[in-house]
Amino acid sequence: MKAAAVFLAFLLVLAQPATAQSIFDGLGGTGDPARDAERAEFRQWWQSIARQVREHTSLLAIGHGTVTVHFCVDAAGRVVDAQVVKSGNNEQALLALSTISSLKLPPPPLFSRAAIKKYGCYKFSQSFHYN
Amino acid sequence: MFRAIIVFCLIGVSPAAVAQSLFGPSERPTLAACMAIPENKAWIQTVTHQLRERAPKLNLGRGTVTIKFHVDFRGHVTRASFANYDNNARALVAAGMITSLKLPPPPFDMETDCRDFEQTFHFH
Repeated sequence: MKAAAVFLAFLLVLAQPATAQSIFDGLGGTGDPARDAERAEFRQWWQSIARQVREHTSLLAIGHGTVTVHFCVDAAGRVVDAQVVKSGNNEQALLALSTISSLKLPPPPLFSRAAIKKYGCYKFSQSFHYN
Repeated sequence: MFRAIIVFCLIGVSPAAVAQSLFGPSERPTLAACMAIPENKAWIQTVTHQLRERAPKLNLGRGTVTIKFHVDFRGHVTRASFANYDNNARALVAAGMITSLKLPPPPFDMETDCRDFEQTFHFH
């Protein structure tokens, strides 16, 4: 079993509740302390997902390629659905899916649970670039 | 798509080849002996904790995979090999878990043999 340094990961939020643009956005805040706090909380949650993905990613050398996985996180922080939407080969796809399914996430911030109720879950897209 | 998963157990220190020496056969420490030192125990618990955290929830059918691996003085997994597996997909996922471990360096005075492990994954 050969292990080699492997991968870069990009996490994107696919579906977020609609947020209104503000002239304060460019300054790093909305001007509304409550909303800024909510955004900061969401960013923290999102970063915890990205960190876990990084930590759970395997260092197996299974060739070059890119895998993109779309997945959904429910109000309890569970990954409830995951689909490989792009993959180089089956091994890479399986490992990427395994990584996503191993995430043990904290529940999303309280304010966003209402949005999850409405949309079903938060959708994310994760790309794995194997080197 | 997701179903539960994996039960696994860290069998512990795996007896590999035992080198003869002028002083007779060397004795490899047991897991209990390795864990008798609190620092060693805490570090080995980190290994088991990380493995639990990385258990995927993929439904890959029933089966068992056993992997032997060694962790070097920097905390990097080295010399990993399959001792037993019955399916390529399960073997790949198990190998992925082992190679995803991000371990801190073990205690500096931990015996090398205490860093040999045998991990069995039971897929349900």
